[in-house]
Amino acid sequence: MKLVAWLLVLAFAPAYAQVALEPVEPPRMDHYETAAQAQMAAAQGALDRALDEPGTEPAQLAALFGRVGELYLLYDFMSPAAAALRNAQALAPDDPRWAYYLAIHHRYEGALEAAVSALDRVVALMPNNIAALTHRADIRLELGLLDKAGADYRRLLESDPAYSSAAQLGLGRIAFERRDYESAAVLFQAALVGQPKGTVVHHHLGLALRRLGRREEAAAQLALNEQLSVTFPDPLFADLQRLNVSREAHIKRGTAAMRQGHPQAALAAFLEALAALPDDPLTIFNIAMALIELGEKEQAEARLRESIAINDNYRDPQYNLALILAERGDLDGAERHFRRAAEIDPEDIEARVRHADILTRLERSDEAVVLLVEVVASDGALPLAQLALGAAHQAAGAVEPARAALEKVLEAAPGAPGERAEAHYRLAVLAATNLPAGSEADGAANGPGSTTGDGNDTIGHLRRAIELDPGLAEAHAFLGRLLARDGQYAEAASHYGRAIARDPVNAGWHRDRAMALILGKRYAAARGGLSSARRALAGAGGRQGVTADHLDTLLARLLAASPDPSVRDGTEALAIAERLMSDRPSLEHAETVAMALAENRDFDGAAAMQRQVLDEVRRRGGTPTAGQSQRLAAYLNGEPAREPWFSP
Amino acid sequence: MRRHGAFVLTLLLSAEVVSGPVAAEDSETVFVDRAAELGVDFTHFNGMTGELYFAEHMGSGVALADFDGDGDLDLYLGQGHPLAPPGEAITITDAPALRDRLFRNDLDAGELRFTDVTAESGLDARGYAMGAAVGDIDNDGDPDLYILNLGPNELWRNDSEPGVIRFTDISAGSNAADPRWSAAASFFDFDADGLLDLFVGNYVEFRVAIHKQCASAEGVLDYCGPKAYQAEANRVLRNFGGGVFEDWTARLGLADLKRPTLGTVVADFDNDGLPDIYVANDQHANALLLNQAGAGFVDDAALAGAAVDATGQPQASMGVLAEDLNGDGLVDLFMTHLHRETNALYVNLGDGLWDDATRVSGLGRPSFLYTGFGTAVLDYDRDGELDIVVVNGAVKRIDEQFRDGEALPLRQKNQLFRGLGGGRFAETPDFESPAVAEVSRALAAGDLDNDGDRDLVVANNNGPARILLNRGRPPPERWAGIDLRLPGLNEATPGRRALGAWVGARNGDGIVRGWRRFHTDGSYAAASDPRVAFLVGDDPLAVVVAWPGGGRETFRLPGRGRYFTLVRGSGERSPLPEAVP
Repeated sequence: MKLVAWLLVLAFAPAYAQVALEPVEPPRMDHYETAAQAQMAAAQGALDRALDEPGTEPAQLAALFGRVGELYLLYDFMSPAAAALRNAQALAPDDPRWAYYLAIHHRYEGALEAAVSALDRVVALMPNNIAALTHRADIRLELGLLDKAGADYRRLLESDPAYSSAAQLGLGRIAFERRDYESAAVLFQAALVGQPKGTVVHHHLGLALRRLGRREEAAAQLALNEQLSVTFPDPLFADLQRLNVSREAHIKRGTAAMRQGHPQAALAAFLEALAALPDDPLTIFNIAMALIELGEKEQAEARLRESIAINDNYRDPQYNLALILAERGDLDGAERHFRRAAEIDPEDIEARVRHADILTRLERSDEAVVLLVEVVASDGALPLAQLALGAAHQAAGAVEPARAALEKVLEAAPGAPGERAEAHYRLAVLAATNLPAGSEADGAANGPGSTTGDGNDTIGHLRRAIELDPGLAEAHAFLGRLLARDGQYAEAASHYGRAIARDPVNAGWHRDRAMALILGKRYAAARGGLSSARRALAGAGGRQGVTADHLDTLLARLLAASPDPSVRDGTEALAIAERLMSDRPSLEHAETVAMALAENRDFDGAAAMQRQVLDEVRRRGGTPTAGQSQRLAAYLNGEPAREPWFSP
Repeated sequence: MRRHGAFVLTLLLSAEVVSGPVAAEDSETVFVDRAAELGVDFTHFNGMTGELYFAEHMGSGVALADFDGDGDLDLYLGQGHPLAPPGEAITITDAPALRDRLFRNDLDAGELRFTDVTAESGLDARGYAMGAAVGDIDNDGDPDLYILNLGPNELWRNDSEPGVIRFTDISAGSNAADPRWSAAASFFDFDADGLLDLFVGNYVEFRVAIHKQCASAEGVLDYCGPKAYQAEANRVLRNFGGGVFEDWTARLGLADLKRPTLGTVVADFDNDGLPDIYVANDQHANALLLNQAGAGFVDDAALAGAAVDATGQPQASMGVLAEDLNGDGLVDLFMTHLHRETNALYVNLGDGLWDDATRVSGLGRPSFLYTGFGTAVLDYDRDGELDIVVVNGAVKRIDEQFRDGEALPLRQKNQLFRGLGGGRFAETPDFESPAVAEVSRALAAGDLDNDGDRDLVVANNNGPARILLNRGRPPPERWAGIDLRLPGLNEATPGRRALGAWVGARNGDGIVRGWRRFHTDGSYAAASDPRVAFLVGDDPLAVVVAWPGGGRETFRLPGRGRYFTLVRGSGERSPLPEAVP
């Protein structure tokens, strides 16, 4: 019927009637996602309408054929894509886009000579399209046309620095094929410049070095190859890719954005993917991962639950939900989802180990031990598993099995410094725990926070842990505590500082660092540290039972009673102390107020406040400490306190 | 939607799409399918339900071996079964009894005939078969069968007598029943203790319970690729005798070898007299595991230049061959690959280095639009140069076939590449008749009718097995074949076949040519006939055998037109390496 219609209008031949057009066989696309189908249908519809319109200009028709061709090419309908693109080219022979996309088509179809011809045309029409020149060079290399490829690559080198890596790589490959490995290595080295890590250039450089007998260097280069392609600007190809509305395309964009550290853009892309294919559990999982990166843990948790509700057979949503739940202290929930993740993938050692770790934290260490014994007996067990086994044994009070498990980590994980560091740290805790009954470290089973421990063995393990993993905060803090105990305040403060760098809101470490500085007579540094801590903790709350109030108390006392006059500030001390007393009245805060009053020369007020403290202590049936009595005596004599280091 | 072709001024005819079998038999083709008339009525069932389960388009397996010791090759074919989540029953109304099948070769005076002996053989294998390997694990002179499954593998001991095939399932106590999805395995004696050990190539962790929906980059729901699932670890199982193996993977330094493996082949790649392993992995770097003489294995593929293609990218390796493909006396490697990759030829340069010679070989571009699986060498035109067969079948739906409503729209034609010498090849169109495009997977090669040329068995996914008989049939006076065995335990017991030997023909000029590997492994999911046939000129044929574990001997064959069994120690010792061209 359309043919009849066309014959009728031939008398009024449209502007493009002199151009021979090919039939474009519409593909079956009902198995494509709705968005892609709609996109192709819309392009075809626009083309159909234009064909029905005798006044359609060739350029306009070319653009419409071109768009249809682009979409078919994009969605892998090769035959109709080629026909549509050839029509576009016939109608608009000077538009380089159609030749360019035909070149891509030919390359996908393995028609390399045709691809080169098409690219010749692009280069002729658009000499500044360096990407076309790059592709032509690559295809010529693939065809073994080394001289021609080399000429193209050299032209690239002279054209635009953005393409120099591609050019150096190509020239290097030509040199390699010609057995000129020295030149190849030099060119590959040059090709690495300006490229992201992990490109295939490392592979080529590695092979060239190997041929030169530089085996170790070669191995190092080969290990760096993550099979990433060398990148260069390719505007027409990028235009084509942007047309892709499939879920996979959105996922790809989102994944790339995540990799580049742009979770907001990733989230947007993943939401587009979800719109393309609603209720897809993996897309929902990706959304959750972007939300986690954005710090939106609650939303992320909801998405993970949504993903699991749709299909609870995917390991990753289960695993990541468990991580979130563990972090917010819902250990029962975390246990449930780690268990499910491990059920889904019984060989997922990481999930099994984390499951066991949660069991240990739930004081179900016997179950954890059973689970972990199975894990460490299996092939491919991670040092992490031995580590967790050590922790589980430790929690169960089985010191020797714990030590044995941890020592196995040291034997089995030469290439895993993190795990070895953690093992040394735990061995340090064990060494501290293993003191004879009645020693001062009786409380060590409660963890390093209450441990003083056996010096040499413990400190040795801690130092080795820190050597292996300088970022292991717990080891720094534990070592800081041991060093402070031995009077090595400067080094102790340094280790606390490094622990704080990893966990800036750990109030206990701030407190202990400040105390080490005070005891080391570095009052100004202590003041600075406490001020920073207050800022860091603002809104974050305290940890380990040490609240920001404790730090405020210490700061107020330092400001009121520091032996270093440059540190003292009676006004600020009094302001802090009065706020503490007003918010949460206590004997401790009352004593701080007294110290601040004395520093402000209000000895009567200080003495009155201190006397009230002593009376209250006695009223509660206690006996005032010597220090408390001495401070009262000082205030009565018109002297301020100068002992800021006594701990709140 | 409308066809714009109706409106053009010049109507161009589109190329006709060939779909389905073409009935006419071309008398000029090299191979002709005779499966039905020879009694092999086997159709693979992949269990597909429309859910696009990853495993369903990868099987099945085939093995050719003289199981009953009567001098001709018998045939094993692996079967699938329904794939469904536990508890969800699937009704198969027209499925035959779904089990692996065994066909005895009743060759008689050149007349070939197969008989289904599955029931009486005791081979009651009902796993979801993915491949097969053959080796004599107990040194009793007959080939045992290792079946690779999606699920626990099975080890079947051969208890046959001449003319009567019997198998006993010894999987349970063997430690060889690897529960993972295994796709390839090679028998070899890595520790030279006289017992065949086993390298098992495992693929990915797929179970119906963890099935994923995958979409192509274009957004079409399709079969997943290997990266959708965790890769499984490979295994080296050391043979302790008595049908018992022990997992030595970690002890040999291979615990971290966890890539999706589809092909394995064992050969002495570095010429140190020790068997090495080449592992073909799907979309991951391949591994070249060099035997360190008691100190395990080291993967040298990346440094050697045999891990990834010439651009530095890993390919989707499926089938693999290890043969001297350029006639320089060194074992080279050929791998089959995915659509829009090319098959690849890696040439052994002899000093621990390899070249990707795909482009110059002529094997690359003709394979660009096909997905290759099984592969085998032969010399179909008897010109002394090895030719290569590749059987193909897509893994992503082919649009034209899908549009036509085909249930498994993955069909592709198979290919034959004629060897031109010097590592160069050219595709020949006259491969098989009827000319078919099927979803071909496993390919085993062997001389089914003992006429001196190699025939082929193609195991198609969800389709009939094909027995492609070679029409070449060289004149009896122009060929002689060899079978290689180690000395038997006693006079009554023949020794096991000397898998891993390297054998070449010495001509009158003293130069040894046509080196061939004596093996059953390689290809995809298949075990082939290890025997080698050589062309014979006017002079009697002498062959040089480099035995596995070391030592070379020269044998002068006493006749021609048949296979001769050569036993280690009965030839003339060759203390010096033979000259190569």
